[in-house]
Amino acid sequence: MAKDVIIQAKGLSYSYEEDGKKTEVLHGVDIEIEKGTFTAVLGHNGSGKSTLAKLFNLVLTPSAGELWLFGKKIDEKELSDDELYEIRRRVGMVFQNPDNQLVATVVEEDVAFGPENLGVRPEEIRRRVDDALALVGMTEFARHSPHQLSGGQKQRVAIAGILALSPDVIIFDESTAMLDPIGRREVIDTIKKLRYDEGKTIILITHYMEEAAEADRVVVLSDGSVTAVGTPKEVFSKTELLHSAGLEAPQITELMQALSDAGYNVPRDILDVEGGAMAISKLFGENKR
Amino acid sequence: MLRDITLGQFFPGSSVLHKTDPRVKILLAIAYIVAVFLVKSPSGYILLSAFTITLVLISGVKVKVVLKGIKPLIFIVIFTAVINILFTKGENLLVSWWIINIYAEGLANALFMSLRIISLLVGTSVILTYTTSPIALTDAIERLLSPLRVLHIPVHEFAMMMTIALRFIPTLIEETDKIMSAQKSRGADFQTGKLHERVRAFVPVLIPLFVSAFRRADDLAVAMECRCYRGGRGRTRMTKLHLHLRDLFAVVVMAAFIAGIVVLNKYLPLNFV
Repeated sequence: MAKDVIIQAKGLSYSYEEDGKKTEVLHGVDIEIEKGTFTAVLGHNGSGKSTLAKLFNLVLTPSAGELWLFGKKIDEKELSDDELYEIRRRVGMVFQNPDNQLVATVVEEDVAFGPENLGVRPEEIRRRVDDALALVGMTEFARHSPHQLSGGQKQRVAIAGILALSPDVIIFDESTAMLDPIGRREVIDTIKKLRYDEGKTIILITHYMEEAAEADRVVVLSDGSVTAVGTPKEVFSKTELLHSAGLEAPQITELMQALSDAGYNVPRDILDVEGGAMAISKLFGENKR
Repeated sequence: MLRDITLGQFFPGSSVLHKTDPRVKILLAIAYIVAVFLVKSPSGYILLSAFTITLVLISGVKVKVVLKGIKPLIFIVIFTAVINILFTKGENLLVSWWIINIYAEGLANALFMSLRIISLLVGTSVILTYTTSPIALTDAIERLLSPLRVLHIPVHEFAMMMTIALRFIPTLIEETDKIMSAQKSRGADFQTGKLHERVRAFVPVLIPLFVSAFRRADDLAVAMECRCYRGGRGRTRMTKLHLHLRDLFAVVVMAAFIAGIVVLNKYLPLNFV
């Protein structure tokens, strides 16, 4: 096997019981995540995307199917506490609400929380905290209190807190959903930096198409099943499929497809506004001739 | 409006008192309390007052702030003073009217008790609360109490809870503000009406606040688990507290102060009644 698959799910299911009623949230999900890639998981509310993420670092345990992490098949019963926390360390997770994941009253203390839990030596914690804060561009706020920061800044601190654990995979569970456009941009830029400069494997759970368009691969979840996997171009060109999953392609893609349907000669898989503008101006050029 | 509440009484600064190790300061505060109760002579009270005033001056905390801190105690001070004046019996009768006999000893006792109460409050707050940030205080308490872990007392867990409480106070205040605005915009009235009406108006604020606090707690617990938190066992800390020369100096000063009081009690009481 040439590919380096670090997370693999085979027929993964998850169900929970409430008042004696069993509800299955995920039905037999197959997914492969390769090392160093950027995967976006798309789905509307209640599609099971957050549940899937929580299975990947074993906050939740699968009720059926196989889960392979870092080349090892996970068997919850045989897993020791140390192994469990080692997996949590290697698969970091950033959540939606920036306020509800910061523990300490000082930014750098919060970033230190993870390595402190691991029992890392104080000098080494200091180094990791400084590195992590520098990476997310929050060094100047090291001594600030979290409530003095904006949403995007808080979320960057949360990312630094995960980075200090030096994980291999970072899962962003709708980490941009509560942010304003500026904050969202800050977080997405940080994610790209982690992926390209630091070689981290990224799993981004989102319902913003524009963010998913930046990924290498898009996985669409609908009612607990994977309905599409592919590059953003491949997935977004299947508009009907997206609509049936309760999603919409990026606006520019929808526009280009509407134009194409109306008989204009434009590509159907354009993801960015610049590409769209080029295609349309080319169209005008053709008409002049 | 809720934003104006100052939390704790910490006044940031860079005085020697601010820089002293928080663990040392807790111990010094205890020593100071002991010293206050050791004072038995007028000369001792002079030394105590002088020492306490010096502490205030060194700390750089505004005198106005310190006086404001005494305000809630005024009733107790006056009450003790009056009791002392009226009920102390001695040899030097000053005033005798109807059933009231006021002795010089009573007046002296009243003065000393008032001094004792006021210095107790001013001294401990200047040494501890005014000059130590809540987080440093929590940290110091955890470290000082850590030997109790042998007795299976969850010292780390208590400190963690305190830290999280401190972390979420501003967040929850902000949220209360938001909910109050939302309820006001729907016609809720928090300012007028009888007391019980105003209390009742707060119920629709408290319920969403509690629901949200529980949701936050749940989120935070998952986030902490994801960051490998598993209690205090095997945990290290980034900041190690180091004892400096100035901490030793502070201890020496406090020891000299206590010794001074003991010596004055014994050899130079300056008793005037």
